[in-house]
Amino acid sequence: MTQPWWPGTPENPAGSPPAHAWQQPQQPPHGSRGATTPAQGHPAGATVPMPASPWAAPAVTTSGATAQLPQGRPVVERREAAGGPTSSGAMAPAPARTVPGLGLLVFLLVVAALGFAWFVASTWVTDWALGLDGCLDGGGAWECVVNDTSRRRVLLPVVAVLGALCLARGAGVERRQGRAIGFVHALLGLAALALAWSTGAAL
Amino acid sequence: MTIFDPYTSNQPTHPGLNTGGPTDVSTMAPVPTDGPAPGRYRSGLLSALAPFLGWVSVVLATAMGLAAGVARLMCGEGRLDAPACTTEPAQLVLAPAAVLLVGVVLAAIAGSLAKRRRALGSVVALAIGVAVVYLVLDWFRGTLLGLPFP
Repeated sequence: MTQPWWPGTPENPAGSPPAHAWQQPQQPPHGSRGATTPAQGHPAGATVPMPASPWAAPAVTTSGATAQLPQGRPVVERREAAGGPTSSGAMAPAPARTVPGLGLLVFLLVVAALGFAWFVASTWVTDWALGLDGCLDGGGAWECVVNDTSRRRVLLPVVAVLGALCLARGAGVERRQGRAIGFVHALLGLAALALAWSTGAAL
Repeated sequence: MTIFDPYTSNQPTHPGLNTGGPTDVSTMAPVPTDGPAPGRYRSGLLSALAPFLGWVSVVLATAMGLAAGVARLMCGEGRLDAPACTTEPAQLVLAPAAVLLVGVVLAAIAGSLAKRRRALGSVVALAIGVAVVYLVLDWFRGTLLGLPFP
């Protein structure tokens, strides 16, 4: 049985030369994360030396192949850590897709919602408030406050404006992801505004 | 250096080189696709519904508070004879506060989950928020006020 070799033992003093090539002291790496590698200077395509730990499991690459690398580290991790030329452009984020016209539609939806809110506040809510005073002076009670006018010309437009603005936000989220379903959200917002306007105007 | 060097760990310059060679190193890299990966989209509908729940809760809580105040005022003037005149004032205050709190908190949770691409959790939070707001609103209208609202 062969005795293990390391410097400083009685069988192998510190100054004695190693008996085998794999007993060469390992040099610190260049540009790596502290992993020890064999001595450099081997020609390209030469036989790969044994890793520092022969019992380490072989590294598995992303394609399923095994790689006999020092320290048994995966190839992908080494490439990312080394920051070589191949790791700079391969993982670049994909360019964002654009949806033509969706940004303009979202902008129009926001403008329409704000305009409708201004119209409701300046016209319908004012009329309802003026009618409230007259109704209460005439002896009315709860029906003056909560009636069909307050539902159609106050509550429903407020909910519609909020829904349109929130749908504009959802359409914007879809637009940033390049999904054309944002058109559906924007059109739903416009439909909500149109429904609220038609309901209030029909009163 | 255009091939893999196991001593310096320098990778090949061009993908595909040295594959299947003595080192059996694959240089294949993930190919960038057009847009996010499938299943990693952020739902725009959930991103719209979550703030909608929060703002509707604010509007409803404000309307409930105003309705409770007007009802108590009418009760004091003798204009109104309804269960709102005998209800504890604290209940008329706590019910709108509960709607506001539950709606805003669950809307925030739903929005946060939607932003993290957890659609199921966001839907559950939205459903709980809508159910709680509806139940409290129905209790406020039927039991506390006893009046048509809204």
